Amino acid sequence: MTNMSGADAIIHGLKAEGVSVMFGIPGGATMPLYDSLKDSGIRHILARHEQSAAHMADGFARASGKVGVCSGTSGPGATNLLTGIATAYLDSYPVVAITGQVARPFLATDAFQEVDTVGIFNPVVKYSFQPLTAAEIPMAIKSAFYIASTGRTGPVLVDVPKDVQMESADMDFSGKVDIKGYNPYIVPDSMDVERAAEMLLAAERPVILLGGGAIKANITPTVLAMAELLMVPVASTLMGKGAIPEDHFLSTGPVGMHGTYHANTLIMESDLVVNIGGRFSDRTTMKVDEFTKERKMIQMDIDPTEAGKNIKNAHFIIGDLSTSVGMLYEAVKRRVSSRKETPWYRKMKELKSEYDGKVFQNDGPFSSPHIVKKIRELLPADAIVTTDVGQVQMWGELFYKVLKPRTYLTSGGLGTMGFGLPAALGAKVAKPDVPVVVLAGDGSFAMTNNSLATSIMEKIPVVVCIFNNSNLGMISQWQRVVYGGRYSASWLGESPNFSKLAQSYGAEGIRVNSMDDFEKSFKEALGREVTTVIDLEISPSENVYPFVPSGNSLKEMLTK
Amino acid sequence: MTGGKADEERARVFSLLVANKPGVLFRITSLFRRKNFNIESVSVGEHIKEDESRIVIGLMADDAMANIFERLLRKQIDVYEVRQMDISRAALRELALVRVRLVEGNGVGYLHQLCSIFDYKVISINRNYATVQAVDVPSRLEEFLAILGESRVKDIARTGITALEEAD
Repeated sequence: MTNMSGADAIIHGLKAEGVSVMFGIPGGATMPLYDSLKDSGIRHILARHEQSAAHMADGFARASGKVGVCSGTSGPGATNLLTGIATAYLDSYPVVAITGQVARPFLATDAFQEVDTVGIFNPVVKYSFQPLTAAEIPMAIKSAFYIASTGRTGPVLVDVPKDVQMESADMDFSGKVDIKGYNPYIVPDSMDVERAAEMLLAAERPVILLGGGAIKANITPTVLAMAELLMVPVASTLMGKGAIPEDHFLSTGPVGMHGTYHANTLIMESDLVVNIGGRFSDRTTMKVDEFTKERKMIQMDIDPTEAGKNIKNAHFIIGDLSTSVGMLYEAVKRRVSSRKETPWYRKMKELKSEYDGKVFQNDGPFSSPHIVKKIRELLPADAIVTTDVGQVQMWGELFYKVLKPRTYLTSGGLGTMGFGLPAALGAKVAKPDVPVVVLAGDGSFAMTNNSLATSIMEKIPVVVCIFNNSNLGMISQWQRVVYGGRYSASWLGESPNFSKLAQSYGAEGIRVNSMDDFEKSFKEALGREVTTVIDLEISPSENVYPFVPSGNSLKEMLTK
Repeated sequence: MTGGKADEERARVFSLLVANKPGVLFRITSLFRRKNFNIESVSVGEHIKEDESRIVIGLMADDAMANIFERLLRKQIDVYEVRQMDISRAALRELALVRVRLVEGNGVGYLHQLCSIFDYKVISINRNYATVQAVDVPSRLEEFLAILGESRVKDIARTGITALEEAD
């Protein structure tokens, strides 16, 4: 037992969890916390908007596999964090958000900067804690990290009233976390696995589909060994991109609304889908009846409540994927020693040779698909790319081949514009030795570009490539393709001048409109110790193809 | 949703064992709000151990919706146990307190007769009103109220159903 303040206990708890960095903005209700933080040895990275602080913590978590920590004060600090926390929740990444709250006597009085933070965050966190005495803090922090980082990972909120931060108590940090009703360690059923192995071997046209869970479970070698043994094509969802290297001969790239032509075609011709760590989201399956028709499904997931959620007919294997996929591989190995090229494999090879990297709408040499390919060419395998949301995210999905897990960070579930830059800063803090590049949109970038100040002040250099078409690109694409060319509120105009904006923050800024200039400035940017913003002047009439409009099946891809 | 018997809405009773602490009921009811569902009744009470509560929720839902709710409920850390009760195999009761307006002529005597038929109790009375305590299945309680007639019922407080599945 040590006597200390609640604020000191928060810091002590964070350090005990191995936290070395926290992203946030101080405010009235976190003054005691920030006072304790001052000489704690935990690095604080000052965001310029709490949404960005949450994205930074999320980007840190995505790149490192550790829990990211962010903080905001009560009221607007907390509500600003919300979008970033929801982003982490929808993609199941572990973030602990620590918010200040008004002092206990002022709770529920509409006091200055008071909102019901626990109430507002409820649907977008795995769990929340609101310690109402200082002595509860050690266990609240410990439990928050335990819940965030185990099972299906996700964000957890700790909301601490200001007077609880100031209150002193005898703190016990020795307690063991024991949360009744929370058992994240579920052992996969070996009978379920045996049955899956038989289904897999009986299939003539199987596809392995990797979701975000496959990245979190670190199962790349096992998946590759199994796929190679059976010569099975391996597709991914947007969130599973990079779970195996996308330059592997069995990789088809992602399926879905903007999946590759060959991946979508193959999965719709398959007779079995082995979904590892994906949730069959609407953007992956598109018209779900067609997706499930005439093929069997195996679904492997750590979250038991995913069984039957989006797909009714799947053979479900519950449990940690590193265990269940290992068991499946063993069960497969026992039944088969080597397998030759199948007609299905040859079909994949044919499709892939025709469609891999194919640019359906070619807007000349300096257009988005070619720029994305150039970025891949110029980056080392372990470089990290983050994306904004919209057309640029989908050009990335289609044309950026991810070679290592945790190197393509994108807001898939929530689709949060403005995710790119702050997530990149978090990733760069986690992995300071690898280049971090943002595939930014001019619409998205404008939402969080004040993170440039953080990048300069905290010396976190990244390279921002703004695919600038002066439009909310995906909106204008839909209006062009689906709404008969009736553009409504999608034109952004030519303000601001992004290179000058970057310069005013102290970053390098340059505007380019040719591939040669881009290549030159991108290479220079990679060697620079300060953030560079490259404003790429691209055509506003570019479309992302293939494109499966809502309500269509994956077979019904638009390619022009 | 397509037609067919399995898809029809019917009365559901969820029985939950949950942590007995602030915020739990809020987390649970907000799951139903997400699908814009009206909870018809909810009763909460301490369970055998004081750190646990039994919550019984009644609502109308089809099979698909009921399964969505069951999944959302199971996901909650504070929910220890979720059961969709088989109503035909459950003891199911509701408590109602009914304030009855006494009318001249067939006042107290009539009410007493009615209560003895239903096995309800008059628990307080003055010259204008009697308060009846009814513990019953909802359908019989509805019948009682219908016989009394709307004009005689001044006020009513109902707990909503609570239930316990028969033990084997």
